[in-house]
Amino acid sequence: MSGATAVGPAGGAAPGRDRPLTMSGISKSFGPVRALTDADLQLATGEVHGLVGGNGAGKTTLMNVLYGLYRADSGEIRVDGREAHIRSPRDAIALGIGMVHQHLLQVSSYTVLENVVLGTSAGSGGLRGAARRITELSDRFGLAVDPRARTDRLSVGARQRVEILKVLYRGARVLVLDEPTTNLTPQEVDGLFASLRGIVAEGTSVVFISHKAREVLAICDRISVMRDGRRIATVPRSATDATGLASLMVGELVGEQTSEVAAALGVGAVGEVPAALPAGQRRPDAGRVRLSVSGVTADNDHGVPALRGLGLEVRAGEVVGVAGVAGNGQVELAEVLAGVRPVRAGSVAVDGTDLAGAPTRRWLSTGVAYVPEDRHRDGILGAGTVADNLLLGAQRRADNRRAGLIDWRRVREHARDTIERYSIKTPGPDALAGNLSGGNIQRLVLARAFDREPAVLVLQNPTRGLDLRSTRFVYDRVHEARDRGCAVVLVSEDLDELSLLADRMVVLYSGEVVGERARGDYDVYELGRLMAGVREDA
Amino acid sequence: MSAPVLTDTDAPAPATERPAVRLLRGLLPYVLALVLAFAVSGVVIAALGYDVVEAYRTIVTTSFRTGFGFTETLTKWVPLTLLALGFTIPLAVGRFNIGGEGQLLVGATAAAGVGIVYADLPTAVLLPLVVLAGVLSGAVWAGIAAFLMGRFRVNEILSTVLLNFVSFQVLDYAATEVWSDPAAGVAATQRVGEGAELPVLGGPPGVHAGILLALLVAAVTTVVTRRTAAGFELRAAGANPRAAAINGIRVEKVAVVALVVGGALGGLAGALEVGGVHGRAIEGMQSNFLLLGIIIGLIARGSALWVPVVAFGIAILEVGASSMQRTVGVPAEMVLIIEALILIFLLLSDVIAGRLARRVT
Amino acid sequence: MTEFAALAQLTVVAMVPYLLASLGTMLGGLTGVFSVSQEGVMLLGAAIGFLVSYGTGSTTIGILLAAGTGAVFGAALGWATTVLRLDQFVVGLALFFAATGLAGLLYRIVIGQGATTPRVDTLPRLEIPLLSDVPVLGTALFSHNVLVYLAALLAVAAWFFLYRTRAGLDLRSVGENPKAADSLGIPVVRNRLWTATVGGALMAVAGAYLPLVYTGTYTDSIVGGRGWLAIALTFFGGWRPQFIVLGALFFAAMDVVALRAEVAGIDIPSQVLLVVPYVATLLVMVFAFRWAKVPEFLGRNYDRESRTA
Repeated sequence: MSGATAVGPAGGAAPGRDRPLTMSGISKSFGPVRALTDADLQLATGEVHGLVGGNGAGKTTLMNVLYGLYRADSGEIRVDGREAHIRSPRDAIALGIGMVHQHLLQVSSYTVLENVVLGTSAGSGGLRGAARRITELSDRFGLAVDPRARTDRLSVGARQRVEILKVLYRGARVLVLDEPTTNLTPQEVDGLFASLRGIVAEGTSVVFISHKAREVLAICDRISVMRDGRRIATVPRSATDATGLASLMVGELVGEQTSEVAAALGVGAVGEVPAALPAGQRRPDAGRVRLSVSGVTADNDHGVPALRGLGLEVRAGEVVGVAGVAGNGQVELAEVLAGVRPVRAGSVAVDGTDLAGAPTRRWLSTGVAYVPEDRHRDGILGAGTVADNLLLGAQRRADNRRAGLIDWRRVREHARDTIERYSIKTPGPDALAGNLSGGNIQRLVLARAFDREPAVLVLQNPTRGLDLRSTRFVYDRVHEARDRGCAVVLVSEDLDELSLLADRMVVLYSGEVVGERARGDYDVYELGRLMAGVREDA
Repeated sequence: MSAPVLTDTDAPAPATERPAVRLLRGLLPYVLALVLAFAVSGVVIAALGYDVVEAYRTIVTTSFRTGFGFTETLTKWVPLTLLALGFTIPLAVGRFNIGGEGQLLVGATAAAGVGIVYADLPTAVLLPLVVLAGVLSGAVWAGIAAFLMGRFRVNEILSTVLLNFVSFQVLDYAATEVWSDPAAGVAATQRVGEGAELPVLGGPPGVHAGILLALLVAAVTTVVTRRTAAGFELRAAGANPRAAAINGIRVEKVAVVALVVGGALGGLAGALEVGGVHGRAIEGMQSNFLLLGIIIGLIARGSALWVPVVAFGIAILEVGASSMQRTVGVPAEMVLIIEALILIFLLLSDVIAGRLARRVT
Repeated sequence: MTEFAALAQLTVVAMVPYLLASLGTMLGGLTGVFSVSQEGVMLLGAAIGFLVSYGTGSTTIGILLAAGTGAVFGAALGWATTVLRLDQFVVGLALFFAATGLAGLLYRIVIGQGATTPRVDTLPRLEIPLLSDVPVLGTALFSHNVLVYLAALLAVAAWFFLYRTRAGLDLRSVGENPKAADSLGIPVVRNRLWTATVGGALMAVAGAYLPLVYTGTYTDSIVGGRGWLAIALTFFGGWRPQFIVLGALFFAAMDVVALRAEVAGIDIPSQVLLVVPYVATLLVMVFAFRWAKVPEFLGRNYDRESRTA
C-alpha cells in the first residue's frame, strides 16, 4: 500500500480504469442459510453507487465478501479489470478497497490518530507525519476531527468521520459505507453527503449501502437494488423515484400495505408526517397516567451520569416515542424504565406505585414489560429451548408450578399455544431459541412480554434488523398494546418509525428531555436540531 | 466469561430423532475421546518400555477383582463426586470454583475439631454435628470468595485458588498447634471420638455410610437444577446473564449462592473423609481430588446426572493407577495424563462433530 | 544497612518467577488469549529444567528446553482457542492438568520413585563490574544470576515494544477489538498464536527458575501457588509491564518477609506468616480490580464470519 497519495488522480488511461470494480456470480451460504445467490455489482469511476434492499437482502454480506471478511463460496471479483483474490481485509486494503462498517470498528481506548494508523506500520514514517496527513485529509473533505482525541470521548458522528479518514488514509479508490446514516442527525447526514461529493470528485468510487430510499435518492448517481441475495436491478438516479425504488425493493408486497411498507423503508416520510389519525381511533389524552417518571438520574455502565433529572409521563392507551441520536441516554432510559438499571435519584411510578430501587422482579410483577434492543444479547437464552425462553421470568408463577416443581408439561403446552398464536417459525417448544431467525426471536420476546399483560410496555429499536413482515407484526402488536390501555414507551433511532407509531414524541439529548412534540407538529429538521442539542429557547 | 460447556438442557429429543439414536450420538464423542486418550497414552507407556496390555489390564480390572479394590473405588467416588458437583453448580452460572481442595480441607479441619472436642458425645448427636461442621465451614470458606465476588467483583477463579493455599496453613495450624498428634507419624490431628465415625456398610472391608449422603446430594442436585424454579434461574443466569437479569433474576445473587453451595459440598466431602476414611484430618488428605473433580465436571459437561457416572469411571482409573505403579512400574502420574487427554480429546471431538454437522446440513 | 541490602537482594531474586510468569500471562492476554495453566506449565518447566540440568549438567540447556516445552503448551492454547475456537478457560484447565501430570511423570521416570532427591548446581551470580561495588545498591541490584538481568531487560523491552512502537499498538488492538484489527489487515490469529506461545515459554522459564536458582531440587509442590499469584499480579498490574514489575517486587518482598520472620524466630505462628502473600493478594484484588484496565476482549475468541458479534 503506498502512502503517497490519498486519493488517486481522476485522469489516466490505464486499462479497466473506467471499471474500478466488477463483482460477478458471488454466492455465499452460512450453514443452511443462503445469503447470496449469484450476486453481481459493477462500479464506475467517481460515482456514488447506492446499494439498497430490505434487511437480509444481502447488501452487507456482498460487501463483506468484497472486503475479505467473508469468503465467498463462488464468484469472481475484478479490480481495474484484473481478477483479484481477496482472502482477507489485508488483500482488500492492498487493492485500494476500504469499508466503513455499520458498527464502528475502533479501539475505543486509542486516540483518533492511533486508530487511523493502526495496521499501517510497515514502511511508515513517524506519528507526527501521520497526524499531519490526517489533518490535511480532514480539511480537504470536511471531515472535522481532532487527531489527538480519545475515540471513546467522541460523538457517533465524529467517530464515523474517523472511519472514513481511516479508509482515505490508506489511499482507497473504492469506499464502501454500510448504513452510515443510522445514528446521525439530519444535519450530520447533510455534512456526510457533502464530504462524499468531495471524495468522488477526486476519482474515488463510493458504495453507499442503505435501506432508506430517501437518502439513496439524495446522494447516489446510480442505484443497485438487491433482494433475496441477488442484484435485481440497477437504475440511474434520474430514472427513478421513491415509489419506483420501493416497489423494486419489496417486490410483490407493495400494493396492499403501501403506506406502512413505505414508512418502514423511510420512503414516505420526506418531511410529510401523517398529521391526523383516521377517525374512530382512540384519544390518547383520555387515559389516566400509568407511567410517571420524575427527576430520574442514572449512570451508564462506566459510572458516568447518563440521565440527568429526566421526567416523563405516559397515559393509558398512549404511545410516546423517544427520539435522539444514539448515546444520549436512550439505552439507560429504557433500562431504567424496565427496572434493570438502578436510579441515583428520582422516582418511576407505575400505576401510582414508586418502583425506584425495587428489584427487577417487582417491576415485572407490577406490570412492566421490556423489549430490549439487542434481542440476541439481552432477549433470549440462546442455549435454552423456546419453552425455556417463554418461561423465563414467569418461573415462579403459581400456574407454572406443581408441588413446588416446575410443571414442564404445562409450560410446553403453553409454549405450543404461543408458537401458534404468534406464528413463531420453529419445529416446536423444544427447539433451541438460538437457532431462530431474528424476526422469530423478536416474536418470542414480544410473546413473553405480552404474556405478562403489561401496564407499561417499553420497546427499544424493536424493528432493527427485521424484515418487513416481522416489522409489520411488531407494529401490530404495539397497536394492540395501546388499544388494550397499555402505556407504551417506544425508544427508537428511526424517525420514520416514531412518526408512524408515536402519539407524542420527546427528544432526548445528553440525558435530558430537550423537547416535546405532538403528532404531526414537527418536521425532521426541527427534530434534528433538538437531537443535536440546540435548545428550544436558544 | 461465559459458561464454557453446554448447559444441561433437559429438552427431550426433537420429534425427528429417536431417543436411542440421540443417546448414541451423544456417547460417540466420549467413546472416541476414551479410545484416543488410551491409544496415545499406550504409545507413551510402550515407548517407556513397559507392558501396555498389562498396565491397562491392571488399571481397568483392579476395582473389580477384589472386594477391597471395589471398596476403595467407592470410597474414592464419594469425595470425587462431591467436589465435581461443587465445581459444576457454580459453573452452571458461568463461575469457576477452583477452591474445592481448600473447602475440603477446612471442612475436614472443622469436622475433626468437633469430633475431637466433643469426642464423648454419642454417635446420634456427634455425627450430625461433625457433618454439619464440615458443611458449614466449607460454605463459609467459599463464602469468602463469594462475598469478594458479589461485593467487589474479585475474580472467583483467583480468590478460590488463593484460599486453597490459606487452607493448607489452617489445617497445619490445627494439626501442629491445636490438636497435634505426634504419634501419628505425619502431620495430622488426633483421632476423633468414636461417635464421629461413620458406620460401615457391608464388608468387610465395607464402604462408609457417607456414600449414601453423596448419592442423595447427587440426586437432589439433579432434581433441583432440572425441575425447580431455583434451578431454572441458575441455568438461565448461566446461559445468558443479561437476559436473565432483564427478566427478574438476580444473577449476582444466584452466582453467590451457587458458589456457597459448591463450597458446602466441598466441606461435606472433607467431613466424610474424616468420619469415614481417616478418622482425623491429615495434611495431604486432599490428594488430587480438586483436579479430578474439575476434570469430572468438565467431562460430564456440567450435568449433575452424569457427574456420578463419570466420577465412578475416574475412581476406577485412580484406584487402578496405584495398583499399576506397584505391579507394572508405570508411575501413577500416567493416569492424570490419560484423564487430561480424555478431556482434551472430548473437546476436540466436539469441534469435529460440529464441523460434520455443518457439512451434513 | 548490610542487612537491608541482603533483604533487598533476596527480594530481587524472588521477584523473577513472578515477573516472568506474569509477563507471559500479560503478553498472551494483550491479544486476548487468557491462560489459566500457569501453575501447571511452571511445574512442568521446573521439572524439565531440573531434569535436563541434572542429566546434562548444563543449566542453560535445562532452561532452554523448559522454555521450548512451555512454548508448546502456549501454542496448544493458542491453536485450540483461535483455530478451533474452544473455550479458553476449559482448554487452559485441561493444559494445566496435562502439564501437572507430565511434570510428575517425567520426574518419576528419570529419577525413579525412591526417596533420594538429587540436587543440581544453582545458577552462579554474575557480579556486574564496578556497579556491584556500589554500597547497598550494588548488592541489591547488580549481584545476581543471569536470569535476573534478563527478566529485567525483558520487562523494559516489553514495555517499549508494546507501548512505544507502532507494532505494539497493532498488537494490543487485537486484544482490545479483534474485529477492528482484522478489518485493518492486522492478523488476529497469527498475533494470538505467537503471543500465547512466547507467553507459555516465559511461564515455563519462571518455573525452571525455582529449582535452578532457588532450591537445587525438585518437588511436586515447588511452584506453591506462584502461577495463580502471577495471574492476580497481571490483573492488578493493569496488563502493563511497569506496574507488573512493582507487583512482582511486592510479592517477592512478602515471600522474603515470611521467610525472614520465621528464621528470626519472631513469635508469630509460622502459618500466619505463610498465608500473608495469599491474604494480601486477596486484599489487593479488592481494590485493584476497580482501577485495573483489562484488555477488552480478554478470554474471548474471535470468529471473523460470526454474524452476531
